[in-house]
Amino acid sequence: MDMNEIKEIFFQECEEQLTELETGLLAMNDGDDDPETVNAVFRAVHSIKGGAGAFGLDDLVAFAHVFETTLDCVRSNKLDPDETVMKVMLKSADVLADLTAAARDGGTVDPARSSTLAKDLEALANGQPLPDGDAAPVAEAPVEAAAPAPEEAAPASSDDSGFQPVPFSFDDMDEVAPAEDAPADAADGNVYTIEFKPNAGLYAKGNDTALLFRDLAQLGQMEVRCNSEALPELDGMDPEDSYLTWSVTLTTESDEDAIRQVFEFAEWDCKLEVSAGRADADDAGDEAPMVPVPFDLSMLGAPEEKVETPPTPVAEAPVPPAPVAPTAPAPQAAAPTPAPSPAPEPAKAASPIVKEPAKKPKVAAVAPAQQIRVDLERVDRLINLVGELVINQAMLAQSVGESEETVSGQGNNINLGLDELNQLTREIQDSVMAIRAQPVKPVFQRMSRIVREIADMVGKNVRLVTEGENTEVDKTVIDKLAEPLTHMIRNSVDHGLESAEDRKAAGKDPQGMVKLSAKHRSGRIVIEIEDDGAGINRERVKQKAMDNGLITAESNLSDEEIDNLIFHPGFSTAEKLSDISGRGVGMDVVKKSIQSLGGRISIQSNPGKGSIFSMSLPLTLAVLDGMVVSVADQTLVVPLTAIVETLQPEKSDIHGFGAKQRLIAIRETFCPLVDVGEILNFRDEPADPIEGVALLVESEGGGQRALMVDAIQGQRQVVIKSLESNYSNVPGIAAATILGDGRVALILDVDMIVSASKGQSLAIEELKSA
Amino acid sequence: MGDENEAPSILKLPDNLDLNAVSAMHAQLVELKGHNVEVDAADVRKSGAQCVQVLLAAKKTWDADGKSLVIGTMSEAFENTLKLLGISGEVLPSKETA
Amino acid sequence: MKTKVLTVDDSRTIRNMLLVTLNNAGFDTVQAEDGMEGLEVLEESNPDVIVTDINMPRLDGFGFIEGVRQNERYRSVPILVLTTESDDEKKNRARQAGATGWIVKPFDPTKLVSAIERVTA
Repeated sequence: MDMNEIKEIFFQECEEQLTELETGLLAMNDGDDDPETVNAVFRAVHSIKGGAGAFGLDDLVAFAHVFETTLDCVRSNKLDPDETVMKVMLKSADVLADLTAAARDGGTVDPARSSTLAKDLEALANGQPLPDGDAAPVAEAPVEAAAPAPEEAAPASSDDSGFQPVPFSFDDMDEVAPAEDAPADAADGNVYTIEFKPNAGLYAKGNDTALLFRDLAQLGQMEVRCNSEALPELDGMDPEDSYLTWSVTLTTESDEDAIRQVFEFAEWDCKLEVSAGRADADDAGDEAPMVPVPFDLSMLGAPEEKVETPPTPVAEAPVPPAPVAPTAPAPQAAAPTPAPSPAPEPAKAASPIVKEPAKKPKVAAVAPAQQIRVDLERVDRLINLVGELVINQAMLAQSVGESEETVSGQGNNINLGLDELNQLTREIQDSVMAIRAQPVKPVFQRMSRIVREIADMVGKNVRLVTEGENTEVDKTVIDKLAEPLTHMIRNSVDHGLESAEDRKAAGKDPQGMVKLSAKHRSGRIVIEIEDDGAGINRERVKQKAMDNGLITAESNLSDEEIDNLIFHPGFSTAEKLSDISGRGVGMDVVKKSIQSLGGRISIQSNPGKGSIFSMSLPLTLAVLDGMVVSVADQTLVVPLTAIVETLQPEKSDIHGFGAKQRLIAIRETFCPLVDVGEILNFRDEPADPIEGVALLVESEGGGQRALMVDAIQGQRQVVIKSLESNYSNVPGIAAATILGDGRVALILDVDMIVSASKGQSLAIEELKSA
Repeated sequence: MGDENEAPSILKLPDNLDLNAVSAMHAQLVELKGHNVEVDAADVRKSGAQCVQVLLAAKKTWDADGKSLVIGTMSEAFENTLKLLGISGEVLPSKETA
Repeated sequence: MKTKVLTVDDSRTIRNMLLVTLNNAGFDTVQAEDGMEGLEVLEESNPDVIVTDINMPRLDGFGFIEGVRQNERYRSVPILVLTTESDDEKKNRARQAGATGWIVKPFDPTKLVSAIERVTA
């Protein structure tokens, strides 16, 4: 592992900490006053600061420092986290995220933004009112808009107390005797006398006079005298107390500070006097003679060798040290005579001093729930293998089924085993898929920032409520969710919710609500975005659709059909506003990206009450529920999610249109008929629709197509094998799978088939009037 | 004091003379009172002032009792500790000097 | 025998930095993610010295140090605390809990190593 890898870990960790931070802040914002919540928030910022400091990311450190200081005030109840405070905190969390991103990806953060917030934070920490008007939007411009000189990135007045761009110092240890310094052997240098009287606390904390003197010896030439006057006789002493004191004469080129630094860790647990000059010779005589310590320092660090074993016969009086509880009496105290005692058996089995085999404890951490990090590639390989297993199992089942007659008698046993294998395979598959599953929480949390930002921009007061954030879905799905969700959230805040005045006029809470929820429903994940706004203005939608030529004035559309017009490509182009990024981005784009994930989107709107957008997505992209069909002797799989219904066309339903096109009448409407075999060039001549089956599929524009295939073989879950890794991209084909009988089947790309058939498309109404 | 020549009991010190070990050592020495003792410090890896303190107290007591207490073989680490703490061979004699 | 260091820090970044630094310096290391885990692995890791963070979930550095000091066997093992600043109040509390010394973050590898050497034989 090198520094770069650790840096990578750091940024990963920042992501997690930022998530923690936001979760905590949002909880606090909702009135959570659990001290542990504040603590967690504080720790998140603190941890980012700590790591950032290690990598010299000064901007990040500086901002995190101010943020942390303010959080500390909240933590210690010096600052009440009211609405104003929380607003600043939440914005600060956003800036911290931006600074982290800037540190990772390069780039800068608008210095005005971070410095304004830093000042706000400081003001809060100092109990001052915010600089004027500062609940106001902090950034009119998006972060990337201003690209200032990087050195200005955190100009938050380094002269302000409490805000230092580089808040760390190495001072504490700087003066510690550098190990390289050779002991001053020259006669020159100052002479100091050091009187050292440690108390028991020094030893209790794992420090030792010998260690301190070892450091001291590195400063120069040292003579040590031990004073044992206070030492009682053996019986009367407490072996853990401190009786010895020392007087050291040090000849050194270092100064007094350097000497005191040596005793830094000991300062509270001793009496230390450092004076220039030699100690009085007077009291030298009474006790131990001075022992000069100019010995070879290098051996201090060297591993000690064992000196040869003592020659004395050990059998006579071996008294191995027994582990003893310090307060307990000696274990062999019961021995009546202090005669050479029999070797006390190393009493307790788990005696501390007995050396254990150097068992390597787990290095990985044991968190509340144990976790390991696994390379995604490995998981994917496993998923792939399980895919193979599923296929293999299906093949085995099929061949056993075929030869069942011949095995007759044993058939039952084989089938029983096969059932079990089937069950196991399924369970393995589910478990493997679960490895890739992750809660939608991180994505949901990103949305709260989106809400804040856009609410600020459009001047609305919005609360985001989230539900079911722990609902899990495949990582790939999660990764692709953020973008459509962002669009939809922006849309809800910008278009869905009314202004505060309008809301008040309508008798609603001036604060608008957007609810983001996730849940599992019949093997899929359903994500809903609900707002309590005005709902879809159907008159306006209709007008706009007419203006854009999507419908005619005569169109008689149901409410639902009108609502769904917003998903039509080209619907929103007329209202594209450039000032807010994402505003006016077509919902068609959203729909398309949801569909590319194998999902569907729908809208329910209730005028005056609000709208609900629902997305239904597969839990994984690795398996797919498909309809297996045959087309010109080929086997194809059509994703079930795309299919609205299947039809057996009657001759009377089929209508010719133009030169080659055909339409199929489905109840009141006509739908273009697409011959899959023809469009994929499986055959040259169009097949007879009456002999085939039509699959009514939904295409991206909300319009429908009838895909004509020869026959339906059945429905099954298939394991998706990417074609691109084996072949180049094939138009109209999304991927491939292997069926139970070993045949390869192609999976149809419905959207692509539909768009390839464009040109046949016509607005329904024109047909009716034709 | 006629038993000055009695073979000394050996007190073997462990490699790590931490607080617990020092207490144990103290207890053992108390047991050995009245006997000549040779302290075997050959295996000592970690030692400090508190172990020295017990040995010095023992030496005081032994001297008063007219018994001998000497340090037998000692590891370099142990020898260093003694030097660092200013304990000379006169205060705590080693076998050779005794 | 290599000196064995138990590092206790909730930050994966810092844990890894400690790991690399200490391994390079020739120490054996054992890691724990917070004070609670530190106490859990204390016996089996049998450290010669402990380096611990202060701000940690579940059990913070102060609680951890107190826990170690209450363990009969490790009551006198040297413990160094990692503090982000030379924050006297934190140092004091750590000392009261039984810390031997401290290391100021962001730590300089040589300083980290020398601090450990200061308290180990």
